[in-house]
Amino acid sequence: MIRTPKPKTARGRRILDDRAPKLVENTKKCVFVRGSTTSLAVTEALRDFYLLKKPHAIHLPRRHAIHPFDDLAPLHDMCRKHDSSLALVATHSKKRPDGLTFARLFDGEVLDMVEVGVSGWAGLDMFKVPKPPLGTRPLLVFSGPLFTSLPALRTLRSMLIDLYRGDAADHLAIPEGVQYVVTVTADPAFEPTEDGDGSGCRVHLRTYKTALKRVEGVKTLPRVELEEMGPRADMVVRRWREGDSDVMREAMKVPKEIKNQTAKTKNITHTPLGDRVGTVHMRSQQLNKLELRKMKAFKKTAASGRGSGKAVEGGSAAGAAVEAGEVAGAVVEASAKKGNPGAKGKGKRAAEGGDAGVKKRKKA
Amino acid sequence: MDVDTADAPVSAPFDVQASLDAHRAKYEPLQVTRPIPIALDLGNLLADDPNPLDVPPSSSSLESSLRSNARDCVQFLVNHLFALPTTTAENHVVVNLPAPTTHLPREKPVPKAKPMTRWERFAKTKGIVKQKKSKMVFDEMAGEYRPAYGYKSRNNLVENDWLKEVPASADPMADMFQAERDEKKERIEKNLKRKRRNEEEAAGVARNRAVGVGAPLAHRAVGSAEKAERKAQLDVALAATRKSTASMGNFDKKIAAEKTLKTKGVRKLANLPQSVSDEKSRALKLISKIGTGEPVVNMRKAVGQALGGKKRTAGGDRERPTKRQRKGK
Repeated sequence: MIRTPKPKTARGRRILDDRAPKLVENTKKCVFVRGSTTSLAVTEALRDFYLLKKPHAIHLPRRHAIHPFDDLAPLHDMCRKHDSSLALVATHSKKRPDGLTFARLFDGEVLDMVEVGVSGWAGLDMFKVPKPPLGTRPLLVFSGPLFTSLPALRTLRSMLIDLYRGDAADHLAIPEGVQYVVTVTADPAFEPTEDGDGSGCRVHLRTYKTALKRVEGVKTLPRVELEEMGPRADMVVRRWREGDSDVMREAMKVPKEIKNQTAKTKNITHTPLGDRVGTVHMRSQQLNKLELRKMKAFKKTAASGRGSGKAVEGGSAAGAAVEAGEVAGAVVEASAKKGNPGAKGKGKRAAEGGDAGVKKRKKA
Repeated sequence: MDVDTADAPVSAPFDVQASLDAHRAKYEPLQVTRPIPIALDLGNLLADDPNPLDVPPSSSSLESSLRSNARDCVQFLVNHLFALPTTTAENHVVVNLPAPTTHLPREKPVPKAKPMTRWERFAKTKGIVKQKKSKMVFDEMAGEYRPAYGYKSRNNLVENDWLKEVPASADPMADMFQAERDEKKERIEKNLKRKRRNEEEAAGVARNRAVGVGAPLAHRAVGSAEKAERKAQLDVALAATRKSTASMGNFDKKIAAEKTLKTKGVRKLANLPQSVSDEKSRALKLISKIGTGEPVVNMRKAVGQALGGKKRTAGGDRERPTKRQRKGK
């Protein structure tokens, strides 16, 4: 755990507050680090990726003795210093020429990493195409079935989305917001082995400027045309490190407050005019248990309490049922005394005819 | 277009439809269809095309097939983006993007709630809500607004007054300035003490929490064995506290679903017969006593039990009155 110093100034406190864990997080920053030895291609690649990520990026063009797959500590320090949770490290060695390592951090420690070897590099300045304004979000296209089936490519995909998505705003200006697109295509000729994780697979990274053209007779949709603007790279996945499952689970947690915000409200819909319509779900109605107005006729009187049928007043159907029940109840009692099972059953059936009658009988 | 019309016989009518089709064929279509549909995550402006790329076998065709595939995907994505509900903001048409469906890891852990101070806890139970107060309050004596506290506040001015009233009850020679200073110092000390206590309590909470989120990565992994061990320790501590009352926990209020405490040590069973022959001899001994006039039961013991179930003290058979009996007298 990093020892967080107590801020001495208000400015220092603001900076530390900004770095503290938050419900809605800051946009992820990325450090672009040049390793101890680099080739022209990866140096350029580092610069170009930096230019596209720019407002949320830190370019460290001097050489640093950073070898992410051998020792994580220098990378941790670097990211901690710049409060960045993404890193791109350019390396070049005889054994692994033209290497780029994408790393992602959680809580100041590396979560996952993918190292790729770059070939066929063509940078931003190789294409004489106007570049998008600073901080524009690109559209992203991942093409090929291997991005879901191979774990290394899955990690690479997730990492590239993280790198390119920027401030993940919930709105987009059209058509100005659609400026360029980054496409990553997995090599269709790559045949993964039985237990292959995806290392050795080639992916083609291409960046195109989009041009939205008006189509005659179509008002709402533009036709898309693409022009390559760079960077372009064919990348072979080399070493990679998957996120530890426990840490990953921690990192993928969605705070309760945010989860509740995005939770769908059930049974409330809105009409096009803006009226709110609620749906009320009810259980099936039981009409026989319906509570109706209390009427004098149903009232228990002193006489009916003693079990006399004559005490029932009024000529309603319900009243009649009570009467019938009581009569039947009387039959039951009488026949039970005699010990005649047949008569008893008959009485019971008769009693069931009137609900109120059954109640009465029990009381009697 | 000119060439087409020149080649056609003059008498033939101009085929408008064919001309339009030919014109359209020069451009890519607006509608894109794929064997496996393209998956979209509009919140991330992302399209996932699971179909394998169709590349004709020549090195030059790779770029063109990458580009045409990309164009189709982008067209598909743009079609859906442009169909989203729009609003206008600062002279721009803006589409409202749905929430992203591709979940990405956070960069820092979910923040934990700050441990409450004693006052906050109390206020919560009492339903006391903190009310915003103005920093400046009207001072009626001076007829102007003054800060509620601190420099130039009413309180501060009174404190720094050069003249102090000595109350009639006080010692006339007492230093009222010093008394006030002492009182203030005491208040500050008291507050600091409470602050320290709150911090300590918060640290305790944090220590207890240190097994979960936010703990250093090295300490985070908690195996089931370790958990069980900690639980066992807690059980022991709890049992000790339950027994640590004057009545050894006998008269404590029982909590629902509380486990009964197991008493440790060897419990001596009643004087049970050891074997069948032992039982037989005991029974015979008892039977032999019946009818002889000899008492079958230990009279002294029986009387003692009947009187109060008290054990005889080693000192003798002296009866001690119970508490209630003593009170009665």
